[in-house]
Amino acid sequence: MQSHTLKVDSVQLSFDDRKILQDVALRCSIGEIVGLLGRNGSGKSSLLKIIFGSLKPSYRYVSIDDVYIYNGYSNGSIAYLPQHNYLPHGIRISSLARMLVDAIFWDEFTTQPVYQKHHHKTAGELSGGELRMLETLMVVYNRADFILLDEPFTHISPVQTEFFKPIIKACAKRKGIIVTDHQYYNVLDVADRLIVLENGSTKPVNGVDDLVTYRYLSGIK
Amino acid sequence: MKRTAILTFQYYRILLVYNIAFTIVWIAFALYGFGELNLIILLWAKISGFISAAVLQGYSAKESYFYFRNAGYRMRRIVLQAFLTDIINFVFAYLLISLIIYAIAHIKS
Repeated sequence: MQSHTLKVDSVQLSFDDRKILQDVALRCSIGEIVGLLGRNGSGKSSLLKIIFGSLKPSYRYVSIDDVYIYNGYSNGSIAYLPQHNYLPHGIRISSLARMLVDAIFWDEFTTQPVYQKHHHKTAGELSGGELRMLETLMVVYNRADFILLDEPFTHISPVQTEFFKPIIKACAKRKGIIVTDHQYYNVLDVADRLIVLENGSTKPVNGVDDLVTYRYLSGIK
Repeated sequence: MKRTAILTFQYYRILLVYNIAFTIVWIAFALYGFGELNLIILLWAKISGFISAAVLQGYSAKESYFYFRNAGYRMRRIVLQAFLTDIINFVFAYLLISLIIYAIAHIKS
């Protein structure tokens, strides 16, 4: 397995003169899960979209193995799970999955109960939770080297959350994963390393106490 | 190549109903405005129909763009390829209909 490193640096993003991101330094290697935490409006989703390439900031430096990449998605190196549903309606799930899922994961993917149950249906025929599970699986099993997960645990039940954690951890052996979610305890469970976004800057987290220091948590129970 | 063709077809399929509906609307406008139909007017209606459908889809279901991006493709490329597919389909349909009309006229005479 080849080792690659994704680096993000010098991101500058502002909306209406309000600086959202200004001092971001983030690194993720294959085999690693980085947890990205931050309060509402801190710029977590914007940062993931900037890395993916779907949001253009005033300035950004994103590289893989020190080679600058203009668009994370255009050469298939980065996949992104957005907060909203993204699968187009009117096309069968099996046809959509074949375009996203890596061939080496195909057998494993097709054994997932949610896929076996719904592969012949279209996105419009599924409930919100079922669709979210399939969308998350299709991104986690994507052929990209780096996976960005924006709130993968938010729209699914606790049982399904527990189901996803080992899958994410297993896929991280072959991929680098950056995950963000407001259910921080789930992020703590899967992440090897944590980063907090505060006042537009990334801060490394060395212990849960730092989450209080950076005002992400009001206290530790 | 096969992946590109499948993704283009999937996007084309998403647009299909709106594409046909808008094209019919533009043909009706042209017929009302000019009082006749010819190849140039039909081609203009076809192009306008596709653009209208693509704009509506981009406005109402832009989130599905992430599907194509996660497949490793830029939307600009997918839309352009679907547009070319649409024009080729139009030319084939036009030739086929013209041939049928010519054949019927020939048989009658």
